[in-house]
Amino acid sequence: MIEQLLVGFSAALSWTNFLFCFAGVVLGTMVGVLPGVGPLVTISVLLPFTYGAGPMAGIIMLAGIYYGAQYGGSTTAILVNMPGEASSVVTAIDGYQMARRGKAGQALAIAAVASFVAGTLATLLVALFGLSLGRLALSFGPPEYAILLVLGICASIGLSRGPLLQSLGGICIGLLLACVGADVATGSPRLAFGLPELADGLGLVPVALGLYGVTEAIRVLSAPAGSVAEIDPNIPVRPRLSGAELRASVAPTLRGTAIGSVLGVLPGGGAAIASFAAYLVERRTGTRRELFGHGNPAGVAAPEAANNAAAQTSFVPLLALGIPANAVMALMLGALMIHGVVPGPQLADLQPTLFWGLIASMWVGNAILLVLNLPLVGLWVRLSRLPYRDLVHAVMICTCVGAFSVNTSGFEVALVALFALLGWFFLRTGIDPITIMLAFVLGAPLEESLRASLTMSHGDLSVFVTRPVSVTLLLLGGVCLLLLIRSRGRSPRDSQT
Amino acid sequence: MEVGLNAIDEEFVAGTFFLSVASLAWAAASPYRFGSLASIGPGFFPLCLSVALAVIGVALIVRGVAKVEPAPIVWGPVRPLLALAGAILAAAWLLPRAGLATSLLAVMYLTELSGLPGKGWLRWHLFAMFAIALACTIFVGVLGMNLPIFPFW
Amino acid sequence: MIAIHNSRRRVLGAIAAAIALPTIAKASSRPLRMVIPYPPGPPDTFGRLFADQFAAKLGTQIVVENKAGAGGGVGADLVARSQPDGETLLFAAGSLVGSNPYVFTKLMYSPEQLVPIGLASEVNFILTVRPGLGVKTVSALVDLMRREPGRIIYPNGGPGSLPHLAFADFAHGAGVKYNDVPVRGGNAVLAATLGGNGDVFVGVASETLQQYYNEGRLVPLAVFSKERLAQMPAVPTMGESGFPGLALLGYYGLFGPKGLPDSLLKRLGEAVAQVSADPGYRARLTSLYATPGSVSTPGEFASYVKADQAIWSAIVSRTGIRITE
Repeated sequence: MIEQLLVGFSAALSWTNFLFCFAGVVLGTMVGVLPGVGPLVTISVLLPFTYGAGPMAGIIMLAGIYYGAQYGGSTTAILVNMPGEASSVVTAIDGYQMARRGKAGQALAIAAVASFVAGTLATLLVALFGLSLGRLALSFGPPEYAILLVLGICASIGLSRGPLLQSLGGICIGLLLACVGADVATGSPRLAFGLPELADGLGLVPVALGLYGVTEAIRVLSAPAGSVAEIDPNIPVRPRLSGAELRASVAPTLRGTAIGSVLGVLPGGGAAIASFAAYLVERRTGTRRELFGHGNPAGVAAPEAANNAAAQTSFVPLLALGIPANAVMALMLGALMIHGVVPGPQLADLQPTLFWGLIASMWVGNAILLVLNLPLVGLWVRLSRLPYRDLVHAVMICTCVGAFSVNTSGFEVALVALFALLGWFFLRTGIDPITIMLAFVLGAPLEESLRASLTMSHGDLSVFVTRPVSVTLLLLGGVCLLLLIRSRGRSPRDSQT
Repeated sequence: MEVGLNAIDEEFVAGTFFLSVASLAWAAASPYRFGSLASIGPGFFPLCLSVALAVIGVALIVRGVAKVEPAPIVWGPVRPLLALAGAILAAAWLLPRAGLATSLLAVMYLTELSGLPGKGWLRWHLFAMFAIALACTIFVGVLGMNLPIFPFW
Repeated sequence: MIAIHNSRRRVLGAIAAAIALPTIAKASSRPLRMVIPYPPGPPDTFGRLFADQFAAKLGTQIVVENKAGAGGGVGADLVARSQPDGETLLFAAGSLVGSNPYVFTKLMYSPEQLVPIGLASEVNFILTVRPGLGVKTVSALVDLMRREPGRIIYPNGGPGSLPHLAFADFAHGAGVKYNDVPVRGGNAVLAATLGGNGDVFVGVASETLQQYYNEGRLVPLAVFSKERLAQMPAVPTMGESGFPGLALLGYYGLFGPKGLPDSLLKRLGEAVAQVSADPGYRARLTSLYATPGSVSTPGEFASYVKADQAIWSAIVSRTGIRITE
């Protein structure tokens, strides 16, 4: 295995491949920073440019764009509470609070370092256990997924800062939003009100941009003059992370990496929960728990580690099984096919250079990203200290273009306005949008898994307790939930400002 | 128990909202087959969810009305909401028709209406030109998006 | 006087030419828009491969536009409603016109508005089971399904799709019942079966499947084609396994909006035929377990499409698979 890895490294570090990797991660970071503009759009646009370069260089670049976007996605989440992807929503909770207290630099630095550590460890995991991990992922059938997703949604109550009833209502609304779209059994549009644009469901981008980014802008602009303190300009722009802070971030990073690596291999839905799960685990087991929600660095390190680890391990189903885990992986599959390489269970044997070269280049990419992003922290912090009246224009521009770019249609942009209105409403009534977001993201796979499970068992509910993996999940999940509910009862509830 | 128009409790409002959404969802989902546990239809989930949401909504309404000390909802200034939402809607209409530069200019004008503290006319327009040019470079130039910058190009 | 008039005329002529020339040049070299109504990734891959070759044979630049949605309906609708000037074409699976109109009562597009131009590629279907089921032939599977009606799980990744119809016709012909479990997409079908949560499915022949067959993690029972596949000579056809009526395949083709002028149709059709004959393209198709088919004019393709429609509409009537609303 070591020789194969070394062969992989020598291939990854060839001039062409390195250059493509570099280009990929730089583009990916830019794409990630710009909220709404996702890696999917960029990868599809750049796909034709990779034709001439050969399969390996092409895939390396596309992969770089993908995990580079995970690095960049946390930037706007921390700076202006505008998450670029589903996975950055959780980073925004503590990250933005740190920024409001003038510690944006620390937050960004922690995010970068945690992502790097996670990426490195995850890549190692993929190299060592990739094939076995792939087979493990297959043991997750519909009942197991269903349980996992139900647990995830229940656990989101622990994330919410609002009262219990409102959070439950939020979950229902999120699940209803997820029901909009093509029904899994008949393919016909549901709850679409006759609009063809809704026939395939609501996109994540307009919902996230409206509920978070624009709502935050409205909140700041509506606050009474003078109450939104500009950050004290005496706080240094590039503060050094104290040794203590770094040491305190080690454990959360490792925990996040473990959670993200495992969840990332599950095709279709694992990676989305990774950052949520890591944050919740951190809240339960981390130190200085009272700080969570108010700018706890662990609240940034854990989810960032988780989502970057998940980004790396989500390659496993593709490379080990030939099954793409999400839309971006499907694109990679297409790109590989165009170059004449068809991934399947034998890819590692048939195309070892490509397989190990790609894995090695993922590590190289992570290293490049760390070297790139750390110095950029100063730049971002300086930008974030611009008076809000200038920032808000940037936010609005990115929102509109980002939403438009999803499908080159104005409809998605109009949706942002609708969700901004909803977000403002939730702000005024004390409903925390996070339950809606998580339920919305997980709703479709949840419904599909539940329906498939019950159809498989002809309506027999015992299917959830008679399979080994599902029973394990239920027990684990039950324990975690109980602990969460108890801790929720103890910690003080703070209301929205 | 005071329930004046300008002191409506926030839970009451939340509950009313939930109830309305639940009714809307019920209406939209009722044409679909409900099915049974062994053969779940497209309507099963949405209908169950709307019932749950309605129950939660009613609970909140009751709680809101029965409170000894209602927590009145503070709507706050609506100008920022209207300005930003308006800007986004303008972008939704303009982007497919008028090109990137024109739409972004409209967005920036409308955002200003939310009551941002003043800036000189010239300085503002220079800033706007810079921002729009930067946006065009990044989105169309670097990221290669398929967006015309002006209506004719 | 005459001298001034001449020079003025020459100047005017030069100005007119300067204005007209780019417009004329643009018109003849304006890129052709090929709409692929699927998201990037397979089956969009077949389209991009085709577009590459097609651009070369036609001598025009082609811009591929992914317009996914409603199982291909959004893209189909877009092209069906576009101007028949040869600038907007559709690359799509034949099921859009071959089976969808019979299965779905409400379509987002009008199949009559689409005119067939040329055949791009054909793909084959393989009846596949998981090894744990313990069957190696079609008859063994039928026996199993007869002994335990409704127990065998068919993970259905695309209700109303060609694989679904093919399997349903097989089950109907054999007189057996199965448990149809809806899952989201072909990848979920593969994952379900590999993980033991699905028993049998109809897969599109591909290198990925071949690797699973080689490793013994999936078992091919029969191919739904007229003859055995060159890449899998040991796998019998459905005809050889007792189901002669199940010689089915899927195809991808180029379509245009109704009303395309005949000359344009002819030109485009010739280009498609040239692509099919290109040895490089044929080699790529073989590596993708597809075949180029043997159609060379739009007229022949139109008959091909009609024959295909007859097959699937008969299957739909037999099996009663109809998706309403």
